Amino acid sequence: MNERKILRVSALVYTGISLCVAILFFVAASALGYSMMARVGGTVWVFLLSMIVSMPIVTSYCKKRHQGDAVA
Amino acid sequence: MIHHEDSQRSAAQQATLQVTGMTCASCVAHVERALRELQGVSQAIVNLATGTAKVEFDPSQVSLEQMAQAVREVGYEAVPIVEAREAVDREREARQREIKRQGFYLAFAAPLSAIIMLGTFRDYWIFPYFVPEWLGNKFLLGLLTTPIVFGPGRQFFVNSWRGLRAGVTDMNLLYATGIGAAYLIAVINTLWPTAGFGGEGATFYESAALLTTFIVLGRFLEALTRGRTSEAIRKLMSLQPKVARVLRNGQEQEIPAEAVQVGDIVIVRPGERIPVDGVVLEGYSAVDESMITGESMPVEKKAGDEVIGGTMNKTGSFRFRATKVGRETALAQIIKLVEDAQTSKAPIQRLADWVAGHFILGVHALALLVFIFWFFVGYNAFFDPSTSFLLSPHKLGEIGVFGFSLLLSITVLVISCPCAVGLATPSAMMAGTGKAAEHGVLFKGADAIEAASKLTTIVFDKTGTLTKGEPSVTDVITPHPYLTRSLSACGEGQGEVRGEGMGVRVEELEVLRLAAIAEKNSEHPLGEAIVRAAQEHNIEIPPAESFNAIPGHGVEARYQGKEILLGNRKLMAERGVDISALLAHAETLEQDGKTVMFVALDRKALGLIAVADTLKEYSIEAVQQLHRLGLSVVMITGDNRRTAEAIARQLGIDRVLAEVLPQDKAEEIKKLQAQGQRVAMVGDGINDAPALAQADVGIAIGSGTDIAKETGHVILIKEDLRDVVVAIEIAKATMRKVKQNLFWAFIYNTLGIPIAAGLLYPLAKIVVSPELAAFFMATSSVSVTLNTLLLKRFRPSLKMLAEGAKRPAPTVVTAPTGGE
Repeated sequence: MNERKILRVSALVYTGISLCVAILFFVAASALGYSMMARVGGTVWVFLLSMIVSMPIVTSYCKKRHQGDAVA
Repeated sequence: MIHHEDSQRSAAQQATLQVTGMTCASCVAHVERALRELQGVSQAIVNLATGTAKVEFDPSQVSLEQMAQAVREVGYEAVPIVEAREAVDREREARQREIKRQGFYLAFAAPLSAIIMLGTFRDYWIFPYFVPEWLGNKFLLGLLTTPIVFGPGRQFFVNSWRGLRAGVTDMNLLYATGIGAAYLIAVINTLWPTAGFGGEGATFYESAALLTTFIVLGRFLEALTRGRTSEAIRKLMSLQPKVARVLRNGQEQEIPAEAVQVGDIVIVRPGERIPVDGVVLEGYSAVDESMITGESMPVEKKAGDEVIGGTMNKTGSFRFRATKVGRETALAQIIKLVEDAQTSKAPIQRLADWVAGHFILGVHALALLVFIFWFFVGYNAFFDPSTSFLLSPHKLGEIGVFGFSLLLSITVLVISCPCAVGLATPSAMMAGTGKAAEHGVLFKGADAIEAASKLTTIVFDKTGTLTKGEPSVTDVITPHPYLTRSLSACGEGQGEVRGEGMGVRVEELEVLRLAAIAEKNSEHPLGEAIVRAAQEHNIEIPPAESFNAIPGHGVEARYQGKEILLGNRKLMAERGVDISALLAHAETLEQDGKTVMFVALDRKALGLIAVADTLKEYSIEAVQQLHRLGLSVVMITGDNRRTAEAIARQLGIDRVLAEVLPQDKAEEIKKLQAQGQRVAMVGDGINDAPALAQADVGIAIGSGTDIAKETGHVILIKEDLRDVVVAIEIAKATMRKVKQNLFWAFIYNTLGIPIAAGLLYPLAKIVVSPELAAFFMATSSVSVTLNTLLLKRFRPSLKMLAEGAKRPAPTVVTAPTGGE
């Protein structure tokens, strides 16, 4: 797997994780009766922060795993 | 900038990339990671303070351009360098550009931010009296804030986007999210006040504007102060003269200093700098070597003496033959060592970098948790509309749950910025290595500074380190009490009066003269010592009529028809010389580890001469000062125990490791380390190499110019043992500064994060505004760099004392008489 492909796979994984967290937030906020703006704003902020947190972790994990596979 | 040289250790090469755009420890981690991930790169060390990345790589697998590209891909700039001088010039240019750029941004953002702040707070305090109402208009505030966010603030968005594309998060992202979120919410609340983001009361334009301004202020001050810690190399480089005057084909020519070749005859006039290293052929002068060796007094130079490139000729003119040019000169080697030390990393710095590198991620995770907590729990449970900002009259008012949670989340991001952590260690290390170089002490790496600050035991090699390594005449004694005297009990001029009859006696000089006549043609070290002592006392030494060495006994010679005998007891006994009047003195001297030789003329004992290895000028002072620092001092030697203990007594050394073979010295160091001691070995850089390598800190006493040949972690350019004390004091001062810096760097984060996260909110009902958080963050960076600059004022204790005291004049000392 080349570098570009690793980055693409990583992007799919961390975007997926962040979307899940954001959706979870939206569902919880909706269930608790928050206003639409609070729900949307909160979901965007949670998604953004989740992306920032998961991006380096996932990218680094994918790279390490690929290097491990290459060595094996 | 890429400066590369062949590695001596392997086929791998070393290169130095000049990296711009780094602002914090996490930037350091990103650049290091980007380089290390490249195939063929075995090591990458980034120094934030110098903006350099030192890389060890295999040129068959990765090129310099690929490395530079890898750095660019994670959001920074890497520029090629050709040589060290250019590196320093470029670093200075880059810093000046940064000062100019951030200065311009500051000049633009600061007045606008002040206006925005006045507009925002126009309803408070005395502002309504002089701030027009229209200045508080939200649209106008938005209009004034926009150019700040997209002008000076643009750099944070661009840099964080570059980093994000490569999957890295850095300080810029903290700023960008902070500024971006504050601005966005303010715009939404201005355009759609009923949208639920806090309404008109939460148009934090001043947050976005002041946040940008404070961050830019921090960058500006950082750029201003950062370069001052790297002045040492620049100062050293400025010593290298541009032009040299050489004699070629019998003609005097001015050529560039780099063009001087080994063997060229170089002419130096008063007030000129010496262009390269060499040996004086003719002429006489005094040379100021303080910039290289730290020696404050000018050193006299005559034919046969070595001169060092970069030093300043004071009074006379002379010619010298160039022996070392270009990268081989002492100055070039010193620059290289200081550079290497400044780009290396101390263990404490690795830890700080690791913490800071993972900090950003942790902070974003914390910001997420803070947001979720205040959104779902905190706002409903604790929010009070009368909440005000810390150190601000501004109240939150009708802010909604999203706006409030977002505000705390942003403040956490901004206040957590660990940019000061990235500067704390390297800036102090740079200042410390530079200060050490000023005093003729070269640390080979930051780890050597850290290790030197923790030492508990100093082991000195005896011969050539504590002592001169060549025998000298210490006592001349005649049988008559009132005629006895010691020439120098503790090296030149450091003896003490031990009896009556001071002054130079004819009888003693006669004994010395006769012994010198007998030994004039001797090549034995003891004989040479006697001849040297006679010459030092201006005694004329005529040639002997005959000379005969008696192996294991001494010498016999004839002078003016008389027989001179010089030798041990055995020789005297064999020739029937009565030495009973001298035996008591002889035994005392031998107990002090001295070698005694009797002198007889025509079978009549005239006196005795004692010879011993003498102490170096400042050995006693250095040992005393090390004791004062609380260190244990050990002497290691291959000599017999009696001699070793005699020397140790004179020096006041605690412990003696005698009769240790050179190859076993490292083993002895290991034993001390096994006892839990942190050991420094001080010795000859070449002969004691294994012991120097085994010690926690190997301190090599340099020969002045052969710096590259020296092993050990610390090199003392001149043969002054007091520099061991200087090295340890500077190491301690530097590490003290590192710890203070880390304290200042972390204290803001440690105290600020819980407050920013709203930990005190349920009780105090106050929150920290993002702009105040940015101000704290900027203060943190500035306090760290200013604290480092204080190291420039550091003066080693011994140097201060030495400058106050005059060098002692040589004295003649009388030995104990006993028979009086």
